[in-house]
Amino acid sequence: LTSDFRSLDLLASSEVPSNFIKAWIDATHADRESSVASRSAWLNVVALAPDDWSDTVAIAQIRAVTAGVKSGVDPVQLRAELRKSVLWSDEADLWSQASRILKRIVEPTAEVEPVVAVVGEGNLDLICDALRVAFFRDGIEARVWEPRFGEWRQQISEPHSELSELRPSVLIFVGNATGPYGSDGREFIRFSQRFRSDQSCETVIVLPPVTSTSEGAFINNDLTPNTVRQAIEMQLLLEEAQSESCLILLESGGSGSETERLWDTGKFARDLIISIQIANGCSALCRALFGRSSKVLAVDLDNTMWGGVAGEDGAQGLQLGPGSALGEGFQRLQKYVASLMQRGVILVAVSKNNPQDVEAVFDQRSSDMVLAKSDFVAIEASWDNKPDVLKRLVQRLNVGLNSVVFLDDNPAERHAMKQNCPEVLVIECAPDPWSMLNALVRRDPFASVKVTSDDRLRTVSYQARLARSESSVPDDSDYLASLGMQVDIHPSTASEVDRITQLVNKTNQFNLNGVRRSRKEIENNVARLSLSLTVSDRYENLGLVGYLCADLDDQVVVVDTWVLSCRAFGRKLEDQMVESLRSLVEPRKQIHFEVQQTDRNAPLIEAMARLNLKSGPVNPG
Amino acid sequence: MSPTDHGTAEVRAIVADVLLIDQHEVQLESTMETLPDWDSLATVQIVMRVESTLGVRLSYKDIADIRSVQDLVNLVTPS
Repeated sequence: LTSDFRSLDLLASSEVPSNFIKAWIDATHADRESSVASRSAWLNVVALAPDDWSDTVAIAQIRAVTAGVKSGVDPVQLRAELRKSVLWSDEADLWSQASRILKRIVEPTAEVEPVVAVVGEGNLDLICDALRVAFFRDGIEARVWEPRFGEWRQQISEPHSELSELRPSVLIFVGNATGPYGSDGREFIRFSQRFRSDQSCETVIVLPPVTSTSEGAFINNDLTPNTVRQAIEMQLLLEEAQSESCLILLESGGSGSETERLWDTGKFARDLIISIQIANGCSALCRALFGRSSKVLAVDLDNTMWGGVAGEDGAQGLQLGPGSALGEGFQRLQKYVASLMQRGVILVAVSKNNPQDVEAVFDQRSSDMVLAKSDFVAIEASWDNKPDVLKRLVQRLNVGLNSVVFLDDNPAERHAMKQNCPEVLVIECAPDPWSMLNALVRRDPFASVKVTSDDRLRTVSYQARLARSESSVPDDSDYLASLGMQVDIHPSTASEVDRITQLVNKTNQFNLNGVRRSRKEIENNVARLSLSLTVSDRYENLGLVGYLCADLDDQVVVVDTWVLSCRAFGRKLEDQMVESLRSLVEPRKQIHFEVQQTDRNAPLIEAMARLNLKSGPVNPG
Repeated sequence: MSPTDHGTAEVRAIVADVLLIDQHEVQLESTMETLPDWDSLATVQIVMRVESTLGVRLSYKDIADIRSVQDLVNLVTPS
């Protein structure tokens, strides 16, 4: 999408295969011929582009898609190509184009659920369009809804407005970035209370940064400048949001373009770059709310966690810690990774190295390393292909490739991962710690709405699982006995609500019907027949890993929620939960399971069959 | 190619891309009414693309007056 001049500039400054340059020029000419010629010419550019040129490939790819839309190529094919393009680049013009293409190649249907509503002052088209692109990229099937210009107050406050009838799962308020700061956010909190209490809807406020526009940033004693008033308003808003359980997404700001011009032109409070940032933040948040956050961070080591190559520079020769900018940068990145681990992210290292060289770094540089060996669930140092190593690893950990994020300074390794494991989220970055840190923070693939104490135990838990998968025990019952499990099934308590909400919304495989439940619903469930399962064994304390909720009727017991963490698979815990349930209801009563097959819950379906549980009425005897 | 020709070609290419139509459908006299899906959001997107591609800055007074391809070309080529 860049001009011919800029593209040629780029081409001239790098070592580029000459056939690639020719293909690019041919393609720009083909644009003027016909869309059919243009499409094949740009596909040719994609094919010839060097492996590690993600941005360039993304641009050529979206041009091929653009030509494909014009010439009527199959939308299914175009969607796959468009997804690749936006996965590989956040460039503003490219996203703008992607949003227009999406409107043409995705059938607009009113039925798509859940609904994510975006409201606020001004024109929100740029943000909503960017959010649709982000959802498309992240595989979130949700409908983005916005009110007509200037109608947000009415839509929120009237009980029979279009918005109220839609029953959104997430209601996002985009704070006013140009007018009086913060007061509109507090107004939103008051008006939206109805949504939080009646409709089990999560509300989010996108809070613009405190800025020094218009009045300048200079503070003198005679007047209270705008900036200070904004800071005070922000404080008030944060307090109110917290007491009303309204989530806050902080906008990072910092765009160079003049937003006043966009406001005066089309009532856009933010330019495209900021709109994309907000969309990325909202999409990460929605992934967390819909239980789709990533779980595993797979990092390279050489030049990713420290500066230099362990096998060549030796442990002592690596740049890490005070003394060099790069050393401080890598330490900063390690600190961030450690904070992710504390929030429950599973950390693994996948490095092309001799194991003893990696060992040496952890041993000899322990005072500079923020991350200890024990912070990693696994450290895979070998010369095998990284995609293969990662595939084996996730199998042993019993997590899906689509919950893995891959961080590597080497574009060739990233490319190999994208080619062989397209489900893995590959972080695009420049080969330095600051770029990697920024890319991780911005994308925020591990966003979580709440951190529970079980999150902090997760590393230990997964380490134990690997230990178990290595000590192979042939017979099931021997194995289970050897674990020395302590199982406790008890009525759920109010203090468990946070953990249960998280479990219900994160569990995909052993999940009765895939229905996501809000914290409020879970809170109300405590009054119903709800059972929590906690487990520990001689390796670890797994914490709360199972939950079941049912309604007691005169005749039947209807189970509408049943989840078991994949960490607790293979221990026949599901059997014990069913037994407990049966022991609590009168024998003559039947138990109905509101089962729904999803694309992920095969383990649940198998267990239902094994235990002879049916979706219809089953005899509890 | 003269600067005017280059500007014209770029503007037509951008309008065609944003509106997802063939370049030969975009003529100088084409207007918001004659081309499909050319709404005010499209104008903003076209202007942003024109600015980043040609390295020019259009004044917002002018943006509000854009109704045709010719209007855009006038804004980016020396008069």
